[in-house]
Amino acid sequence: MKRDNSREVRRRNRITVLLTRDLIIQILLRLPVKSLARFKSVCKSWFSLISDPHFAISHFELALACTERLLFLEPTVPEVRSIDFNAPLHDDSASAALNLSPESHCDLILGSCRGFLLLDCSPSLCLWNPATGIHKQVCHSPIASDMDAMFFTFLYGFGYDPSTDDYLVVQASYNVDSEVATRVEFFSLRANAWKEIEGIHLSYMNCCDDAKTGLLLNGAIHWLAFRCDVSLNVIVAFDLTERSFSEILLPDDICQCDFCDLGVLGDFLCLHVSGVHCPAEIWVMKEYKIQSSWTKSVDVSVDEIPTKYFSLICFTKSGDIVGTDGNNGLVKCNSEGQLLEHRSYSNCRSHSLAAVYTESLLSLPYDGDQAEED
Amino acid sequence: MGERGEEWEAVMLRKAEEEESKAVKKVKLVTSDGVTMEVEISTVKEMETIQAFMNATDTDNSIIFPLPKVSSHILSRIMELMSGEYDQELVKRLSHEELKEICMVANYLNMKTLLHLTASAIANLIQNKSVEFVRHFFNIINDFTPEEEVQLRKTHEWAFEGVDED
Repeated sequence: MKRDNSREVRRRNRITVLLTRDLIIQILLRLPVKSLARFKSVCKSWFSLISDPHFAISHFELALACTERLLFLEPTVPEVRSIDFNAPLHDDSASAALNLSPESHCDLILGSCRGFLLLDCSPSLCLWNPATGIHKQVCHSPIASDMDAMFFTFLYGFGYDPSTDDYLVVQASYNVDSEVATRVEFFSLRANAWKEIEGIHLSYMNCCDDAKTGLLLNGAIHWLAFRCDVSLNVIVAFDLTERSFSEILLPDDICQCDFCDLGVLGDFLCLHVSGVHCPAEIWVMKEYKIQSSWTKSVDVSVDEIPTKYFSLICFTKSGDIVGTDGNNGLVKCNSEGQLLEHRSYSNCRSHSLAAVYTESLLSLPYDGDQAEED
Repeated sequence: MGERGEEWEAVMLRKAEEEESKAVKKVKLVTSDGVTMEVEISTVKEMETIQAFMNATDTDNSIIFPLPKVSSHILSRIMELMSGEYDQELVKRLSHEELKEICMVANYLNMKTLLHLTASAIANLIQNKSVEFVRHFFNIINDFTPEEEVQLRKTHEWAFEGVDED
């Protein structure tokens, strides 16, 4: 059998060019994750090459074929949707059904970083790479499990610290019964343990009823929060390498944050006010951490959206604006805020969850014994 | 007299310099099928493998560089791509075999722009294609058992949706 193969190779060699392994790598580095997942079936050497963690890192960091998708799910349903939001919403081939493994449900999406999503699948948290199926369960922090302490966790975040090659789950809480002192804890994936950050002397609370999930930009997680001592809504930034906090001021014209949230437009931080029977507003911070650089960028009209509601999710490569309709539908508008498309993915009246993730082949540190592939 | 002598020396020096620069303006490349192609020195600048050789030898007017792995057909295709400033349209007109061969030569001669261009073109070409197409394209023999292959496909089922016809 083996001899036949080698003879076959020699015969074919004469008529066609055989590319070296180096060149095959150069080509594979330029393919999106979906193609690579399929081409693991080409032959054993391609399988081991594509499965190699070093290849995964080069592929992610070179980002020659970087693809972003949207995870869109209904909280109680095990099947989730992965949508190529750069394609038209009505293009069925742009949407793939995935099974939310290994959990049967997800209550909240708490963060997205380097191809991994942090999901709240009570009773535990779950890190999941939808492109590879790699997942790992993370226990809730000790205070979340301590029912007597009456802690309310109002900020969740998930990020990567390149200096230690570690992923961090960050959460901030306060004790509803006592003085408003913020308690910050983080879970290090390498240490596989929760740790409290001590001596921070912060006094933040939630700026709206719901807990906020953080947004990654410039190596820091950003949240909207209410600063108690000066009674002001601010953006709190947590630097993942320094493990320290800083603040960014909101535009002067935004006084309350009930329907506000943060977004990212390219390398810029943006702030959006959901539109409920009135246009949604999007603000862009043109210079990071410079308050005077906040610029109102666009109003998204909700008149033509059946639910009369719009909340920003992300921007496409060509600058179109993607958001939810508040139920199970997605809305796409052009950069002027005019409706291009609306698509409802289910008749159910529940509120779908959405998060953008970058497709990656990355695995988690200490993957071997802790996480598993499907 | 002394003054004139200096002038004369300066003239001769300039002449020698001119001649020297004229002489290394062209490089002769000898292809695998024995064709000698004379190319501009500016063209060779992008061929880092040859450039490194030239820097190391640091000589004279007649540089002949043998390219035993490159046919005259492929070399002229590369010249076309270079003079067309690596136009995507020119790349699209290449056959699959030409594309692969140019990619290999770009790697061999260490031509970074051309390597990026051709590797990207091949990636684009195969991106939405089937596993069978890719095996055929790269001349790869499937060394999985049918059972292993079925299992792999099952694991990455989503990646097999929306694949182009071969």
